[in-house]
Amino acid sequence: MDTYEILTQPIKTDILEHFIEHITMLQDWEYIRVFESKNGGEVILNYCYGRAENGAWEKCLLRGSYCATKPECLIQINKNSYELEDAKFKIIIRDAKKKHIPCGEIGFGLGHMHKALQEDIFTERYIPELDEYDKSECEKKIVIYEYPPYTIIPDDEHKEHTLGLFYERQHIDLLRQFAIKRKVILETIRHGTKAATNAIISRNFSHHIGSHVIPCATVEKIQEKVKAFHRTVTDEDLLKIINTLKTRLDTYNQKKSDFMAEIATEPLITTKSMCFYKNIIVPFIINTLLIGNICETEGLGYNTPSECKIKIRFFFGKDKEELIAKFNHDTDANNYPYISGELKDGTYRPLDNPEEIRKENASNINDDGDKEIAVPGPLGECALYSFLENFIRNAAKHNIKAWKVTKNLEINIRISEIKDVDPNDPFYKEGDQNEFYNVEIWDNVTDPNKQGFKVKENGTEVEKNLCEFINHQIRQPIINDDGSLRKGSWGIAEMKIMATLLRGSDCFEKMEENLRTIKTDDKLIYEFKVMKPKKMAVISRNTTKTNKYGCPEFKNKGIWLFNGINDFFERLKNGRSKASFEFAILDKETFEELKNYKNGRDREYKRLLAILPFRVIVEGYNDSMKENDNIIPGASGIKGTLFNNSTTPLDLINSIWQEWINYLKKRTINGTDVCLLLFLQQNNDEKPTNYYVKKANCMDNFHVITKGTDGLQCNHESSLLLFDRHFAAYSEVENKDRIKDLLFHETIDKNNPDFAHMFSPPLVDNKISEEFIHALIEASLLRILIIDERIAEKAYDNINWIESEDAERTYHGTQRIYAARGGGIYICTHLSVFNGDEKPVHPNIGDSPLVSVRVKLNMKSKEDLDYSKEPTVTMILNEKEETLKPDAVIIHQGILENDELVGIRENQFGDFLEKIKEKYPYVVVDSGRGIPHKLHELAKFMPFSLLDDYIGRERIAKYNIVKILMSLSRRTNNE
Amino acid sequence: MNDEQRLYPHRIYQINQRLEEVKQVCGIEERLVTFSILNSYNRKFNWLVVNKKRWAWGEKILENINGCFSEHEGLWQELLKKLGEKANKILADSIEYFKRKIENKNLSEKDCEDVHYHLLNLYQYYPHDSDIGIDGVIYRNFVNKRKKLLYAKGELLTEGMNNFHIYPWIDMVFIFESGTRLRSISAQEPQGKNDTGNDLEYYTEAQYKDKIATIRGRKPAKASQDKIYFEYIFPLIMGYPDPNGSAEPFNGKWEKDGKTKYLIEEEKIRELVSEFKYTVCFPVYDAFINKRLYGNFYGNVVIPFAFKEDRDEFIKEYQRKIEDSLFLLIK
Repeated sequence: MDTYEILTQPIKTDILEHFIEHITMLQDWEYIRVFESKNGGEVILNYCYGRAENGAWEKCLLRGSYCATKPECLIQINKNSYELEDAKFKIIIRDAKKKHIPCGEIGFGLGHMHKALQEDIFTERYIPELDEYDKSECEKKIVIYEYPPYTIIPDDEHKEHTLGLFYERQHIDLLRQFAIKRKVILETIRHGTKAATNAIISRNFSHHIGSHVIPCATVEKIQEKVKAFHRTVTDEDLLKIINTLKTRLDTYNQKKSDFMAEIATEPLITTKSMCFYKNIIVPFIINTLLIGNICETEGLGYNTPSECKIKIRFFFGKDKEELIAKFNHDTDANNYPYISGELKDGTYRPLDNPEEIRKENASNINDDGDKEIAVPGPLGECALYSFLENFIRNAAKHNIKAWKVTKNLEINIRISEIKDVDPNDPFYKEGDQNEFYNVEIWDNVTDPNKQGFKVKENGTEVEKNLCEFINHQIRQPIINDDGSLRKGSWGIAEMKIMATLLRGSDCFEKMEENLRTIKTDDKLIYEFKVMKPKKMAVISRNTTKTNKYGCPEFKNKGIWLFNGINDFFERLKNGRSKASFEFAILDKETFEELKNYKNGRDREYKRLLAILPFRVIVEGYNDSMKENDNIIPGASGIKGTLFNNSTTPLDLINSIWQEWINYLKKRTINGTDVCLLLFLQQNNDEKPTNYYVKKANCMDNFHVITKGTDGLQCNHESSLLLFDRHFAAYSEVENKDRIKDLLFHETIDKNNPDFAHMFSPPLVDNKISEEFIHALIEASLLRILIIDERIAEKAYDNINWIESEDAERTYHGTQRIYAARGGGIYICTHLSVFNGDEKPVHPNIGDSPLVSVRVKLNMKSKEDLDYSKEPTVTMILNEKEETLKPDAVIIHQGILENDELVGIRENQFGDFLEKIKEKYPYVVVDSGRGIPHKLHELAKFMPFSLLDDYIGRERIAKYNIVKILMSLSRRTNNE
Repeated sequence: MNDEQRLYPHRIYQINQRLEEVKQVCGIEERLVTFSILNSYNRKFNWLVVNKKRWAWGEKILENINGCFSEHEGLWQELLKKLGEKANKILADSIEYFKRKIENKNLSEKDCEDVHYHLLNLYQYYPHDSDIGIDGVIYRNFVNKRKKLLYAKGELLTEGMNNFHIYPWIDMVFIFESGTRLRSISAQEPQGKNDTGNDLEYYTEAQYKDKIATIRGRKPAKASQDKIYFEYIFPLIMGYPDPNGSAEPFNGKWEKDGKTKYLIEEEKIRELVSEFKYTVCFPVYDAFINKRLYGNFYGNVVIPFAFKEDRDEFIKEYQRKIEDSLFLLIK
């Protein structure tokens, strides 16, 4: 016998079907039927192979009761479910598992001598090379081989099964070779696709930004443009404009580079929730150098100072409900000028964050219209940016005639709920309603009916229209059979990659189901899904709770119930979207289960901690559990339950946040009261201050300072947390002493990434969401230690405050280290891990600067990472010492690898981080090179560009950094 | 077969090596032994016999093949098209090769090995219907009787017959393991639509005469259209005698009435077939268990003889030896 011929056949199906399709090149069978046993005990017929009239081996296309159409196939099969209806046969093949089923025992087949039943060889025991995917595919399959009528069978076959075993041995030999071949193919596809994915992303980034944007965004060209637009601009203003615009583009590029590095290493280890329009689209729009230059070569940019020829519109319902950003007082809605025109004070400034985001055609909608989505990774918004870059480039490049008529290129984006899932529409699956929003993107120039696109189908060339052609391109793999990058259509390929990431999948081998185009009213619409944020994971075996809170109403608001830890793991692994949770609520039983995990299943225990967010609340907490406080570092324990009075998802979310804030207060300020103060430098009737005022009226711990009307009215004992526009609250309040001693202070202006959140707060029922206020309090209370040499280097930079005196007064200095301290962020300047003097974290920092943050971890030795004494974090200012107590630590991977500073072995990284967690529970590693290969498998990760954007630039954006940090999770490929 | 070819994994190389072993074990190295296998994927026979002198060829044959391409391009294309319909990966590659070569018609010395390799693929994967030829006769009777057939012997019925194209009716004796012997007059070629029965069993001399009379009036169905295969590739690889009478086998070209010919005429092939009037066939099964063969039909070993006495002597001497060593073909 030779198997060469079989082994040369390309594998196009799963290993079992491939085997069955080709086994008759080696052995003669009359029929081979594949059944599958279902959990409920049913057996269904998956498919059959048998003989055609001319003797050829082929797959039978008849199914269900149609099976009976062939006289020899009198199998009693349910027409719809394909379940086997012959009870006797079902028992024989499901339970008895006979090697041979004698003729007459079953009601189908040609009545031959007997049938061989060989079902258990698709396991690792027989085929050690079996791939995980094939193993799970074959797990419940029952294969029945039917001999031809003339087979010469040994007399004692029914006892000895010698012939059956003879053939079975050949099967195993063959399957092992298939498995190896398949593994090679899968690996080729896996690695090839990954390499191709990265190649496409890099190539397109280089093309869009490197070739189109950067050459038009040089200092000279910006200068030329600004001067052409505004002749009276002063050199000082010009410099500021250039600096701001360039920084914005640099930040974009830096983030995209980090995002690309993340995709290349470990995508989707976590997700981040962001408001679609406010946090994603608006920053894209105000990136003037990007949007103004990406199609500059085609003539779609800023031809006049006041108008960009690329318009981006955002719809948030099924009809015309639209969000419109108004950028300053003298511009039209949905228009973003190159720079703000001459302002009242005679100065020019670059386009800033919008003054207002307003709803149009949406009188019946009580929220702010924006949709919060979970983006894939800490920089996941870049997935949408990449999509848009390609979309815009394609639209501009291929429709020059059309947009010359329309005069501009209008990009329309619509996000909407998935309402009813049509079972016949393969694009949607049941349950998508709870996990995803639908996104449609179209332009005003592309004609979906454009003809003349040739594609090959089944070896024949056929002509398609544009819409069909793009769908065909979407279905094409991005690699060739040998794993090499498939040439062409890289724009669509990248859009497909990004659509895959945005729906929370990193399965780049199977992306075609994540993007499609449709035609509606002569528009070509790209359609894909984005993840809904998952807010609360409630892990409990309490069925009352499950029944009450497990309903779709709660799930739709991001509250998911899991029946114990296993269920959590299982559903996380098999879930459609990979959105991470912001909170985890565990009941006492789950906590006990977790405790047992720690004692016996350490790895699973640690994996769970890595997947859970830092915000964990344990219900039913009592004194006896105190000794197990370290089971979940940084978790809050409450005596009762959060679920008693929560009848709506909103109630539940608010009460969970309330508990969390209580915990943080205990943790940080011994449970004393806090008062969140907000001053946006507005009158109390100006938007959004008027909304905040309304909210403050029904919250005890929140107060809004408004222009001209304030007396500081909160509890005199409360610690104050102030988000303050331009340091102006000081002059506004009467009791200056009171506002001198703040627990937290952050400056809000348009340079601060937190600004957009503050000025366009999320609305629920036309009121500012309470959740948002709680999140601001959390951001103010949490204390973060940053051990990163690049941030340390910037610690002594003078921040460019307009109000430097105010900064001096508020923070005691104008350098970043002071402003960070004011916001509860401690930038470590000197570090000692073991017993010894602290060393500067960056070589530019001297041994004894006037101000420093010195961290002594006091670990015993490189071999023994136990603490010899309590670690300390001390801020030294002019020889005065202040003890700091951080809750969170963000440490650069480079510090761990730095022999001078840490110098432990790679296999100790995990233990080192665990040790830090004992004292500072929320520990995150940062890096600027994607997920570093030495990053410990359980460590949570944050890209450096985020850290840099929120701490290393003009302002400290504490809200943004805490929002991301506290929701971080660390998934592996299997989760 | 050269040393390199012995390493090739394809059936034709592997099986012919095994056949050599069987012949050595049985001590019949000098005898012409053909072997066809039943491809259980499509239940068609594949012929695998190769003349000793045709495991390689030189520039001369290549030139002749090139000439055949030019002369009969249409027939070549037809054959490739037919084979391509359900080609496996190996055959598909060879078909592609020939498509290119036929188009260019510029075979050179460096193409010798490639052309040989790919032509052997066309040859070995050509699907012969499972009820034609001597293989078909054996397989038909095995399948229909559902008993283990040990061997069969046959005698071509050529005298005074005008009822076949190339392969005459054959008088067969089937010997089954159970001890049953069965005699039948069997057709090697497809029969006309109205003719029923390809195997006419008989038990007495009178019945025999009656059956002979029956078949005498039969007309076979239309001859195979695949002239390139039956009248060129097969004679070339099988090593048919040169139609011009030289001592060397057919080299891909011959002369008739001063004209160059490439295809061997049907009449010439029939002459050759008729030279081997007597045969003995041994079916091979695909499972070797406890020193015996079981399972399904794997292939058919055919040994032709010019004289009945030689065949019968051969059976007496070698039948058991051959049966005992057939497992070597499936190892």
